[in-house]
Amino acid sequence: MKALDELIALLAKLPGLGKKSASRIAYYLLKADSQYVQTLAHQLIHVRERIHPCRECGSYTEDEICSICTDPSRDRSLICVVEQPQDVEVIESIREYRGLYHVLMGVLSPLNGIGPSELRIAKLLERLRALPVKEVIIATNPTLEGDTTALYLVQLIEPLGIRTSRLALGLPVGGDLEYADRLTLARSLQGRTPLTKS
Amino acid sequence: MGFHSIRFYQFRNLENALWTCSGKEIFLVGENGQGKTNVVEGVYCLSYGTSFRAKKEENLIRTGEKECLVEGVFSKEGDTLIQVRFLLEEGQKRIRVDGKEIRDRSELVGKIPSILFVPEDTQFIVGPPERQRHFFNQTSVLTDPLFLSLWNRYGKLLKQRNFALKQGQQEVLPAFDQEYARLGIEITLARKRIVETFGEVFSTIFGEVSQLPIPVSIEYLPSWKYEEPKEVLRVLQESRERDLRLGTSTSGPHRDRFRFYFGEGEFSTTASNGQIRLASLVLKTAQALFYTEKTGCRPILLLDDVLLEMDHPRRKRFFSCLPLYDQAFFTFLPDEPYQTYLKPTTRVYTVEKGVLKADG
Repeated sequence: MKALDELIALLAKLPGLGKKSASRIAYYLLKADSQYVQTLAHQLIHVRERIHPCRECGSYTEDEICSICTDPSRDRSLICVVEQPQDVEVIESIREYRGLYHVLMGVLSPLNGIGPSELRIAKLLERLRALPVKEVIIATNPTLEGDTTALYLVQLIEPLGIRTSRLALGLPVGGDLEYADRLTLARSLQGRTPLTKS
Repeated sequence: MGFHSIRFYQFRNLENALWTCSGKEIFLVGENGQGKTNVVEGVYCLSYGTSFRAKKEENLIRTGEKECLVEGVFSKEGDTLIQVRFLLEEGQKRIRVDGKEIRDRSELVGKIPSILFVPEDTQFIVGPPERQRHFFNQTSVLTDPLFLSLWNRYGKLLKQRNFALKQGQQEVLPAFDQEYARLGIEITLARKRIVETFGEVFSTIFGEVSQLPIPVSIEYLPSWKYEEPKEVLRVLQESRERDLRLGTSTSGPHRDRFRFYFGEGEFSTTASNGQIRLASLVLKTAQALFYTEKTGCRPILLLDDVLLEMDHPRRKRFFSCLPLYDQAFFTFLPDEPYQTYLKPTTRVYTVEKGVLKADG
């Protein structure tokens, strides 16, 4: 069945899906209520048409500028730099951070052809000059590329007289030491925090 | 302690069977090409999650088949059992430890520590610098659980940095340099520490086995002479133009050198072939001793065809200098005097056309 095979091949391209899962989904869609399938297809197209990156921070929005960038109660002296739009959602879900965001849309990786001009770095510098920013929190992933990108940004931001910081690395809260991997444990030892005040 | 059993399935020429390998010393006896080294290779795969001789891992799969498996049950001190499964299928490698799939080989390394002795080990003494770096990396991995992650991270960074150099992406290089210097210094310091203590063990054992009055030593020549990031960053800055022109990182731990001295000169110029061979055996023995000294654990020894060219008195002395081990696998040709090395805990297995048969 050519149409079914094509659908399976397309679904298998989605992140986290292998051929087996793709085929399960395709057979499920064949059997599912036709109203559901139509709504799903419509939503897939709708999402692509309506949602686009925010002109300022780069996270996804249905408007030209996202609700976080336009929210007057947000602290404009803080910008949190993340790799992908979905990282904004993750940090927002903890309701701990009240500053602004900036999405890079990736990290530096010469091997994959991603240099500074492929990322939204020029826009970040433009915003830092326009806004009363005092601190930039770099929240790229703790990977080799994420770390290098953070170091690259620090070089650009420091001359502007703005403080930079990086998310702390270490053990997960509520986790057991015995389940921590060696590198995480080593990093948390290096980055240990003092308990005594003096 | 050691392996209780190993199951081979479509692995090289070995018969599909569950092999009960009781015995502290396991002597694998057979003519060339019968499968002795394949058994040793299987044990190595369970220990390191990779082969020591297959250029492509699919070569481990028996010709004409699509998958292969080695599975071993190993007992550690305190009688804890570990089950390791090494599976190659559809071009993918899957390693499971106690039923749980591991993502990174570094999670396996160290669980069943083994030291391999092969004739090619002479390359560690007289071969190209990359072989010597490989030897000291191996030694570091055995004694420092973080070294493999550190080395892998450095390798990834080196690839990215070299690519940026090739592309002439000057603006990102300072960012790469910082982490490059930090990781590189960590590796340099780890190597310095290891050569210092390891060199002593090596020269003591060499004296005992060879009975030669000639002193041996190891010298570490790091690519970077500095231990401060600031100074290394300056070196990188100074070599920037050359690095850009050549499109590669011309300095860093991947360019480190090690020299093995035999008396006044290097082994390659002053020692005989026999002395080089002996030194390579001693080097591995020292590695095992060093491992036990640092960790308090005993390794598995895998000795493949390394005793062949040694005369009888030296062989005997070598046996008496062997480090403490949990289990040791030896390969012998049928006409070698292996009977004289038997201990009460030794089991002899004949290997013929991939079939393992217990003697007696």
